[in-house]
Amino acid sequence: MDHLIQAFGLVFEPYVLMVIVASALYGLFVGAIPGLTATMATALLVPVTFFMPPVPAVAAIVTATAMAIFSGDIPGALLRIPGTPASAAYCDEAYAMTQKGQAEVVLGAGLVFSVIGGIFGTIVLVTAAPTLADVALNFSSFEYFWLVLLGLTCAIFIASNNVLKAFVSLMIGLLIAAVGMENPAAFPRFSFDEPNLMGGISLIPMMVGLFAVSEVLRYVTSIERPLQLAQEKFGSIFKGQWALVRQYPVQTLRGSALGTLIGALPGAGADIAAWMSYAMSKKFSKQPEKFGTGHVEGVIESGAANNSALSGAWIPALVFGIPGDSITAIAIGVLYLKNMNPGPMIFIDNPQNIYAVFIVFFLANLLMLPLGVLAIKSYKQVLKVPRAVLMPLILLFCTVGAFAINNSAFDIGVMLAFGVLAFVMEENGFPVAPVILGAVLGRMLEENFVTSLIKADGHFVPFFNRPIAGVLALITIAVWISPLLILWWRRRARAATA
Amino acid sequence: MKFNDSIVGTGLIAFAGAILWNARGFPSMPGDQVGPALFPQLIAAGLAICGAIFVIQAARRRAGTPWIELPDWIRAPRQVAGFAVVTLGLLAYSLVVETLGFFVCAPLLLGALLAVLRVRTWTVPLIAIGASVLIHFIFYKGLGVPLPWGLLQSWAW
Repeated sequence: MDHLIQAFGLVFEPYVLMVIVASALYGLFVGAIPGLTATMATALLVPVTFFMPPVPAVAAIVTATAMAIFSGDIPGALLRIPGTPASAAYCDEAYAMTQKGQAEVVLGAGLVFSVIGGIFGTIVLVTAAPTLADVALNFSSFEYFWLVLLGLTCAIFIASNNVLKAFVSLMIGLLIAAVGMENPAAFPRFSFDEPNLMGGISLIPMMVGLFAVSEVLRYVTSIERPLQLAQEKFGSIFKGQWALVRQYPVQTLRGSALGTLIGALPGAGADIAAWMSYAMSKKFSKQPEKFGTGHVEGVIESGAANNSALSGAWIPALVFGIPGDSITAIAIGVLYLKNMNPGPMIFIDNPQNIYAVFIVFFLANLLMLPLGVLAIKSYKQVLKVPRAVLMPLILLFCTVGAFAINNSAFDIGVMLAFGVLAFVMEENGFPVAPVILGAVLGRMLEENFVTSLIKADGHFVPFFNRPIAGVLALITIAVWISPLLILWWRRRARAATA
Repeated sequence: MKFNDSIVGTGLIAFAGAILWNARGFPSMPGDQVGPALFPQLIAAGLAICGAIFVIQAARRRAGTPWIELPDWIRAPRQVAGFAVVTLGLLAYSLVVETLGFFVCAPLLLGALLAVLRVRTWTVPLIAIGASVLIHFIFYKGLGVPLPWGLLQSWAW
């Protein structure tokens, strides 16, 4: 209880509240501009949060991302361009509603059900994380090894439609983690006698490159079309929303639950949660034929899902240090820099910080209601900000931010290299999220593997004969062989019908 | 720039070879089964297997996709210029910022990109210098980042 009071004290402090409001406005703005994603919002925030105490730093990331995921719905409904990838799943549906004259309904639903989803995910986070942390206290290197491996496995098999390409991305990420001396043998690998590489590749400049510079490159190489708003003035945003809440309680709950679950799986974040929820909504709907013609049901379910996924992603991130999506991967990088290493110990050593993070989650989601209305009403003005000016400013901001982490111009080169890498990878259909997961988790994977192997005296049996480790191992292996099983199943089915 | 699957595959195999070649000099740990070379070797093996699958898949399809498919923007001079300014400009920035200083490099980088993106000519220097001063203020004064002064060292504040 003392910790809870302490936590309130940490959050309800003028500086932290100011950070929350500022990052809320920033998140709404970034999410609402097509071409700027929530992940990019996080990557751009990091150099600034680097100079803050842990609680405001995390508060800034949590608030900005929650807002950005909601405000990505606005250009989806008004321009038919999703503001962030998380709104892509129901963008056409939302735009169809706007064309039917229901812009207020769809934007209001996006807002209200984002808040409901976000709060649902937060409640799960608040209840599940401490319980899981208790379990995780008994984990040894064996459990952690399998947990990391399972996380990386999910990132490849669930979060991507091309397993092969996702696997290559993951290998690149793991290789990045291998650079430098931070390995069990403390031997400098792949550092080519470059002193800047001895400590490994700095995560923050790398992330800024992967998620922000690549977007700038995509912008400068695209042919810009003028944006035409489908509707500019809006009536009451909340009118009729209560009726929707009462009409679609199952959909809301299902979307929130699925979103939280998908979010908690490593590698899969808000965008995949939205796609899966939309598909699920259509499948179980009593009126599936209305989907795609401007029907609010799917928007409600997947709109709740993408915001709950955001909270869900923090469960494995805080409890095990295994990020649930790219955003938490970046956040974990920040936590490490702040010496607030995620893991079960944080719940014992710094419970007030964890509670403070929980409070911020609630606060951010509640703040979304008034600020969201503001964002919708002022969207016409937001779009007036010329992207041709915005993008160069973002680039300079990235450059200075990458420099600021280690005061090193070398890191600007690192940022550029990863920006180009992400740009080329995406042009060729390689997902970027596994790279970041591999880079963040590579050391943890190797350390736990080597420690376990030494403990086990080189034998593999101890990897399996602790109960939790055994179960984790079983699940991991099952996911690995599932594609083969499915293939075999299909062949057999085909042979049977032939 | 889109690469054909067989190019991607061959590239991955070559890359895996380079990793193995580099890792061959890693020491083994006395008494331990695993040394620092094991992880890179596993990664290289993974990349090589993926590379091989890419090559086999491409050979099976035998469809006449070109080796390298150039993107549409390569024929648009403004887009090419934008790509060049971002990549080469940033590279140059990282190499010379410590000698020339932030206030020389930042407005030049910004100005070049603004000009390529066809921002109105008379506003380019205004935005380039104004934004540089603002960002300098945020990071140098606000966050205490020692952005390099370079040539302007004597005017440092």
